[in-house]
Amino acid sequence: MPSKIQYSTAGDEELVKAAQKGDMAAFEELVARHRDKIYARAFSMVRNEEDAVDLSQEAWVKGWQRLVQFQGDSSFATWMTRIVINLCLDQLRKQKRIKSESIDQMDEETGGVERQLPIVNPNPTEGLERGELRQRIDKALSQLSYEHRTVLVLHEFEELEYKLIAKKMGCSIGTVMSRLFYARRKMAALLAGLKREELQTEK
Amino acid sequence: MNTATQLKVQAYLDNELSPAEARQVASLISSDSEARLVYSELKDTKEILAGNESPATLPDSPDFYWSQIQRRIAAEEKIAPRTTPTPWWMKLLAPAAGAIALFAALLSIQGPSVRPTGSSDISAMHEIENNPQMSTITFRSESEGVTVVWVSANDTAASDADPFE
Repeated sequence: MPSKIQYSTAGDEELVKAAQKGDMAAFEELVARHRDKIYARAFSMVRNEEDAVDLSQEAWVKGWQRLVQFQGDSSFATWMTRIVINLCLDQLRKQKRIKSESIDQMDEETGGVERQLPIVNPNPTEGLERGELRQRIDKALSQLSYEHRTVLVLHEFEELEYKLIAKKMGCSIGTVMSRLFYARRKMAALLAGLKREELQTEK
Repeated sequence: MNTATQLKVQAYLDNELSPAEARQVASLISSDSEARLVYSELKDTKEILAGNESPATLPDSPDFYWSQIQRRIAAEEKIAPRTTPTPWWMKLLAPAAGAIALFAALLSIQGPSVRPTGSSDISAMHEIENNPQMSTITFRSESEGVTVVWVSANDTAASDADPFE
């Protein structure tokens, strides 16, 4: 479809309008601008490169198909992020890891081991470069169960409210609160633990 | 401190409490050392995470990544073409077409006339045509000598504009 817009300099809004009319080159530019963010969100949720690539690509396909319905109430990047989150949640529901889940579920139902964890001060920023801190956080995140990681990602990185997270995950607000509490306390313990490990390695 | 209180402390941190509840929890945190410790740990963790998500790098080359998307779009469009919004006048077209078709069907009545009461025996009718793409169903009752064409709107624009819904 002929278009006279300068793809590299056009704003997202202009590109979206062109893509809504069928301009694939405009859509390609949108993908180029936001592919890393969309992939990163998928990876943060599924923790697997291959699945994250697949889900992020699926999100772009869905984005293209539903683009005519995008009204611009949120930014295009936010809209796409929501699509990829939905796909990840669907995927994770399908792949429920029964073993780890049953342990987590038991933890939640019985009051949770997180409530017996000693209070710690993770303080991992001490003497750390930002990159190192991010790596440490990433490592700790990968040790959470998918439910706890998902709640944490949606709350801390996507800044969604309890109510919306509950709706997305198909659970009660109370469960969201409990999972978030568990996830934070476990993150605190893991970050402190990782720091201890590093200190021991240095000796 | 019980679980409910711990979760309230967390909700206070996340600005999820009503002003009255928030005041209660703030008071608890200032007077109770255990509540203060829990609050402090949760707050530290929240602050550490803020803005420190590891930026994952796409493992594929950008060109390959895009080519895969293009291929998938093409494959999907073969199965289900991209949805387009239905103009408002198209929505009026379907009922109008239905009324015209019904009128045409009545005109084409052959044999005995329709019962004056209008209480046709549906069980005596049989479906002679069903076109799901056009959303039309045609019924013919030989005993009544009546043909009825039912046309219904087939709105392909899904109502999932918000992917969050």
